[in-house]
Amino acid sequence: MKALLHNMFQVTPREVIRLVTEIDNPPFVAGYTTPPHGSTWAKERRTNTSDTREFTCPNTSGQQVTFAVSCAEAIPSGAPYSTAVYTLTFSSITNPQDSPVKSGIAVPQGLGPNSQTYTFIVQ
Amino acid sequence: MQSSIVFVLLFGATIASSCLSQGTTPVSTPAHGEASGSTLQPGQTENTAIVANLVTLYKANENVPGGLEIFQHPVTYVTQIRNAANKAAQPAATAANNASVANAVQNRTDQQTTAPAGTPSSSSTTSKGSVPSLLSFAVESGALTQSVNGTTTTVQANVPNVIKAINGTKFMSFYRSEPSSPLAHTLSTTSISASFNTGSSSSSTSTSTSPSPFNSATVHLDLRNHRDPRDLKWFNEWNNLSNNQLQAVANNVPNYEQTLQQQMPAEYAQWTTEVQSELTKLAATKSLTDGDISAAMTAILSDFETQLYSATAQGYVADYNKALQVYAAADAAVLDKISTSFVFSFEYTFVNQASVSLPKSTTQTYSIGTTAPDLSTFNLIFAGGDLFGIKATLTANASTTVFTAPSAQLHLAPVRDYKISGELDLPVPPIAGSKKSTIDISGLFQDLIQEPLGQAVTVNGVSVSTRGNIWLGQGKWEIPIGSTGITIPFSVTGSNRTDLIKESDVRGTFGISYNLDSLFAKQ
Repeated sequence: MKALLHNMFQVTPREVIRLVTEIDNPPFVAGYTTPPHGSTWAKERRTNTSDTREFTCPNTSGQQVTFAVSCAEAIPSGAPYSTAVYTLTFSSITNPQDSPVKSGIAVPQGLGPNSQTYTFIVQ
Repeated sequence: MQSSIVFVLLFGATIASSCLSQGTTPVSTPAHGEASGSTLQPGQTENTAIVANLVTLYKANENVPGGLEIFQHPVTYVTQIRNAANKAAQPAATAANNASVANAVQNRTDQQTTAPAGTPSSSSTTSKGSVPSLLSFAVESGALTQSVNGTTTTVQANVPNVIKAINGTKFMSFYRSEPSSPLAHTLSTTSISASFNTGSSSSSTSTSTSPSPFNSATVHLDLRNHRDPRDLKWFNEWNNLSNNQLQAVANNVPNYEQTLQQQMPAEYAQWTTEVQSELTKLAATKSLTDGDISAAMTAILSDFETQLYSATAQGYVADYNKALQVYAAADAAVLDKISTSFVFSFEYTFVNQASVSLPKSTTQTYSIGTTAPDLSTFNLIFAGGDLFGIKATLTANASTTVFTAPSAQLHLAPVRDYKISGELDLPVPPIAGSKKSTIDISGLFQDLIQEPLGQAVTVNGVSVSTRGNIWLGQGKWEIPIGSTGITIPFSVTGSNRTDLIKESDVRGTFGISYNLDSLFAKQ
């Protein structure tokens, strides 16, 4: 998995990608395009501050996987912070030597949900 | 005392005559709620609000890895157009409320900010279920909070505020530990308050021209309180929201953007290029100011409106907007459920009567200068909402007040009284174009075992000095008349003691009085 510009990634055929999404303060309120265009989610796990899921890239060069992550906030009144920050970490299960790639979405109080779209293109 | 039952139908009586005043009427206004009928369109003056949203969003994301990528997505602008529209559509009062709180706990109806019921200065007969805790006082920097009610000043402290005043870093750590730490959660909802006399006071049963400065002290402990959206109790609610309504939003993001790319490829490409140009300029700007960001966002938004938000293009975003609307409604429902979840609390109040000189007693004689023993009140409080599926809320208290020590000169039973009280607030939907209203039904039963020597016992604003059972029930409804803005207060009061009926026109056991001034004054 290699990161390109603008949330695009270059991947190998049938590469398995793990996505871990964490929020700095609960509650975790994030939705994912389901199923992702071009694949399916697997091994989904959710806690009150994180979500973990995986998908397998297509087998054919030029095909791609696309999905959006929409993040919202439920910041309590009087909280000592005014923004919920989600950190997304993409890592390759198939090629663990590839460095994980981090992305983020900050959601100020009252200005959500905010979305990022990610695309994985098979080389 | 008159033992017969008196009912009074009162037209025009002010709601302030309630026998069980509980402070503000519970109102739940989730900050995330979708204003109905919001139709803000780009190009209107509200663009200022949209740009302000975008500036805030930029500043929040500029230090997040890849965070600024959201500005490459048309959905970001569609979402902020909608957020600005919703904010503009909210009533001023609601918007102001949301600005300060912005979430479920913002409308915690169980908070009590003045001296608790039962203390000498209190105007409440039913305590709310929860004290202002971390969430409502975090905006204050001091370890103590202070409120003034008449001649009494109440200071209140809780653990989070003390930690915050001492060490902000530890406060943040403490705050973050609350959802998973029962100890931190308990401490955050526990408070201690003390009231001090700052002037002379009097009552029907006791007077003192130089009262002791120390008036009373209260410890409040929430035995059950889940009115925090971070609470683990709500994990399933947030999870379901994420996996359903928010997932639908995420499903529509690529659909919308792919439609734009397919239907308006040239415009989409041009706008994307312009966005990248503006973002690159911002990234290259040293000492970036809000004005710089605002100028860039204004340009991007203007281009978006011109190229990708035409009447035709808005059709492409209909599904996304619909998903946003459904999500907002579901989010508001979750917040409403949290903010109305029931709270169960215990409260102990100590009242200092050391300097209270006693007046004549109807039951015994004593020498001038005799003082009454101090009082202890033990109060269990229940507060809950969304009863019967109609968002009705109930607050109930069960308490007893005892003398803390036998008196050498007074003949006192240890227990002064037992009391049970409650209030049910029933929301009434709009009728014939009128505003929403609330019917308040309250009741009280008090067994006054001992003549209240010292601190006065008040029921419905009337001091009671005669022993025996007291019951009082009251229903109130401020009836809105259509869309005129006129309301007719209506109340029904029943009690086994006529002196507790405050209305002047009481005939035998049944009384009616009319006062339609508010209606005629508008005509």
